[in-house]
Amino acid sequence: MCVTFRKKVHQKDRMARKDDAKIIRQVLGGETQAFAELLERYGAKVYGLVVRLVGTDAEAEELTQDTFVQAYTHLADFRAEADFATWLYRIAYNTALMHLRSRRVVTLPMDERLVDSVTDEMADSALSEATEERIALLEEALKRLSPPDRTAVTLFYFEDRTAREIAFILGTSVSNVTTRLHRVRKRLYLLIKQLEHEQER
Amino acid sequence: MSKNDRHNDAALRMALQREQSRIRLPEGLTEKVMEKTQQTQPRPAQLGRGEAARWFLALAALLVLGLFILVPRLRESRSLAVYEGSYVIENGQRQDDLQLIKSDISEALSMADQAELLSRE
Repeated sequence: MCVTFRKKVHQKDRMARKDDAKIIRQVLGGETQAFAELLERYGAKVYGLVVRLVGTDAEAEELTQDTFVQAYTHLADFRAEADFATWLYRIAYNTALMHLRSRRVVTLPMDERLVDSVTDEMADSALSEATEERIALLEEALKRLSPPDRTAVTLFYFEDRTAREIAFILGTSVSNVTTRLHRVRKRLYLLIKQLEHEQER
Repeated sequence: MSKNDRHNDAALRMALQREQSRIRLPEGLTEKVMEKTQQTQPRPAQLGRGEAARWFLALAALLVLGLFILVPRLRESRSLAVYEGSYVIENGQRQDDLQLIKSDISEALSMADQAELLSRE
């Protein structure tokens, strides 16, 4: 069942890629109005990623527009090294990151020794127990993650992106992404504990 | 991370889905972007850093190869220029292409050197 599902997903991906490639050719061939189709397809996803990173709707809207304008301007530079959505996400991520830097938004790093002290079993139990309270705590904990962690978690768990695609988007290596995903589970565990402690007060 | 890790973290996935359900795409995004983009055309493709580096290396290699081929030939033609005007009669035909008769010139020079040595003795 699992195998069949994955096969269908891959076929769907291939069709989507072909369509994207066709639209890109049209835009580069002079039919610039065709770009609207790519906006319709990916606007929501890009906005979703950006708003999670910057936090406010107004900023996210502006940055999403900037992302697509950049994608349009540099459309001829799009290579088949990644699919169009992945390429678009990379632009979106970098645009959001630059904006956060200009706002001097800094996520305080967690003590890595604390992160090391969390076992896989502890993280498993924290992230698999799907109670209302736990889900609410996780929603809050997600907001406290750093931009790369936030992006990696969203793309991996929500969009089922592969480590390779996430590495391309973040501009890093696959092993870095794998390590990051492994450690972010532990960070989420610690953030849940921190939030529970804050609630008790 | 194993393949099964996505499935095990059910609470995390649900938190992300719930978060997504609260996200509303602003109205008119497509129109606003199209307004900004329709005033311009996409830029022509630019060479990526990797591609530019490859082109540079290829040109550099050609240049070096060219120098290796040309420099010896230039030296040779300079050294042969001294013998400008020399010729060889072969089968009644005059041959004055220095490239073709350079071996005859060296042979003649060698014989002249030997004759000079003998005369000194």
